[in-house]
Amino acid sequence: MAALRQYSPIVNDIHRTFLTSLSAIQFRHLRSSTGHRQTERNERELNDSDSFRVYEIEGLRKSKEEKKTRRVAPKPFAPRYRSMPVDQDWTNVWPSAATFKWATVPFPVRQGYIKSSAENEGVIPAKYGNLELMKGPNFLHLTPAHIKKHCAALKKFCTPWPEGLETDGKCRHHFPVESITSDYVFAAPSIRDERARFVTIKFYLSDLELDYHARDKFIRLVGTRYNKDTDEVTFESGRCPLKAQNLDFLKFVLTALYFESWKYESWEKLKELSDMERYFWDLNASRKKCTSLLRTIKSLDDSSESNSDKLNYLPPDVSDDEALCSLPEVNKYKVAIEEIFNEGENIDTINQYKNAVKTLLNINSDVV
Amino acid sequence: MEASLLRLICSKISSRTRFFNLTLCNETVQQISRCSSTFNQTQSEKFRTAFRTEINDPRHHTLDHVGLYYQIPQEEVNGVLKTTIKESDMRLMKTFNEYCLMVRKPALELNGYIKNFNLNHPVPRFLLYGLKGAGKTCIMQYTMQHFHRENWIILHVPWAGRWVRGWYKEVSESSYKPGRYDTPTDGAEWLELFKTQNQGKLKNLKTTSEYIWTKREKAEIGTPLEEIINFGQTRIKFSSDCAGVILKELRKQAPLLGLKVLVAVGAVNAFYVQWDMLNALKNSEKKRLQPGEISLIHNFKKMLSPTWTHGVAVCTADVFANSELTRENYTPLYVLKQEGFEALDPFVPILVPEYTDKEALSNINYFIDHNWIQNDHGKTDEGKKEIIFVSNHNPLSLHKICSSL
Repeated sequence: MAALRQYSPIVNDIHRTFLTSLSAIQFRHLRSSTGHRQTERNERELNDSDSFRVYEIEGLRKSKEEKKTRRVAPKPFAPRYRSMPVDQDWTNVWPSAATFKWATVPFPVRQGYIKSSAENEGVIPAKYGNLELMKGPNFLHLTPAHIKKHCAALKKFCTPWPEGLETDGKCRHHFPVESITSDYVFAAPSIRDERARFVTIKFYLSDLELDYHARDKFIRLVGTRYNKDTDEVTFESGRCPLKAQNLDFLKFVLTALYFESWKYESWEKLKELSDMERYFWDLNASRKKCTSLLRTIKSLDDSSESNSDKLNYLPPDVSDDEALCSLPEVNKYKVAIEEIFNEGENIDTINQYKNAVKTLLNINSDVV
Repeated sequence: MEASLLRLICSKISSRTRFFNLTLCNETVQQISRCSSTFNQTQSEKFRTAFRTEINDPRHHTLDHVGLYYQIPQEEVNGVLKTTIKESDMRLMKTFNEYCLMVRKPALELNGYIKNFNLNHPVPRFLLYGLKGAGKTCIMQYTMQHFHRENWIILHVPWAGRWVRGWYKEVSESSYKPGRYDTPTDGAEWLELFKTQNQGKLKNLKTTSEYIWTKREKAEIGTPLEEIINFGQTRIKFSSDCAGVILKELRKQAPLLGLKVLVAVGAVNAFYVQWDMLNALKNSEKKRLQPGEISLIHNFKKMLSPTWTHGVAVCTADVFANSELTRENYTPLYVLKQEGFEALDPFVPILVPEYTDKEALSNINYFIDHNWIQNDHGKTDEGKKEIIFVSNHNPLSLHKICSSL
């Protein structure tokens, strides 16, 4: 009661207004119902002055006080990553391959191109609604945790690793030929996929038993299928309709090639110097020139009286070519010149050649 | 402090200049007195090296003279070294009013090989190879001067590329052997060069067989070689044949008379690699000539094969004598191609490297001394370093850069 008494002036005001409005009710039936406030204003005008009442045509003047009630769209939920606990299990959040979802990925990431510093305030677009991030594939379903789960699920199907195949070297020794095939699994009326017929086999050329000629012929026969740097041969076939047929075909090709390269055809004897795959000093004119030069020097040495500056390493009899070429000095020269041609010129091979020639011909300088 | 520093500098400088002559020592004494004044100056004096030697005889140069300039007398420039010096170098030398060449290590190495070689053995072949502008030709000049002073006969081809190309050059089929082609102007030019380079060495040389030029003209046994040269110069139709006669006689007589012959061929790869540009020499049927079909080259190739003694062959491999598409490398096999390599094999390849720091500084100091570098910044240590850096130690580019300083 004390509170009511305290606010009694306000209560009185409200009471008075209420009474005024009650007295105005008697006029209300004269006009169609409009807003409560307008009535009130008109009545006030009526009371304040003795002017005529104004007939108000409904809808002629827009009333300012008319309230538009618009339906407010409900606010979207906060993105999911906001409420993610730090120690959650990611594999449950992103169980399988899916398009990038900005609201689910809990880290900031930007992707895209901006033309100039004016565009997007010079910043690469963030993940929200970013189409560029959705375009590319992602690996969010293949994290280490996922792989661990996969492995754990697969483990019950695995058998123990065979003994004696612990290292790659041992595997290669016991299984020198590696065959690569692919299976394609999908839901469709037919389970056949024609890509599955392709078979690739790989092996190292050094695993085959070949001599120099056979190896060279094998390399020439397989052409680009031999990789010189890794010493690996790769055969691929898709010519037969089934995988097993292709595999059989490749095995046949390998066998046929192996035995073919051991054969020595009659026309192979027609191989000329320009057909050689490498530089062979023994076959080239250089050997002939070198031996004849050494013989000339020997005969000149024998005929001269003085003992100085002779080629002392030459044996008394130089008529035999083989004996001459097996001398260490000549052999060094042979190795050097073969390296220049086969390995290419560089400062090492050129210097090796220079030193070999110097010892071969006994050329010395005080300044080196 | 200062006294100990002075002693240190004195010991360093004296050890460096031990082999130099008296005047240089005087210079260094002045340096020392300046060095001792402030420490900053000693820092800058570090780069001050002597760039000249007074020993002007290449026979007496040792490793201590590497990087130093020596003077060549005028008569040798006009004699043995005639047409070997590049035109631009010649202009520079005339501007400096002296003919100077730098002593370089590959040159000393090459001369050492030749000095120690047993001349009773068949001719050894030396091939100078290196980058463009590294100084291959200059080293050949040095060797030529050295052995000219030892009274060797010099057979010199300044740049063999000239013999396989030329616009409107006269080419005629050889009267000696069909299928081979003479280039009379080149032949006459070479005879003239041979004569000037070997003044006074050919007096006692006479032919040992008879040479019949035409029905009426022939050279009897015992004709002096000088007469053959004169004949070739007056009847230039036979100039290539005369050159062939001279080469043959020298090959034959060198061991008999104890002559010593130095064959120096610039851009020897032109002898073996076909020149395939538009100005290649063609015969009357418009067929491009192989290098071996040109008589002069055919004759000179014989000088490069080890079938004769008492001689030495020095060649340079110049990739710029090959066609434009194959100029990526400068190594012997790449430049000579397989044919050339096999023709010269076994040869001693000698790399001509670019300047060392010492040589580059010596070159710059020489230019500064002759007021060729007038820019004040170029005379400071900083400037010198900059020049060396910009030229990348290449003698030719250093020369080009300094010409505008």
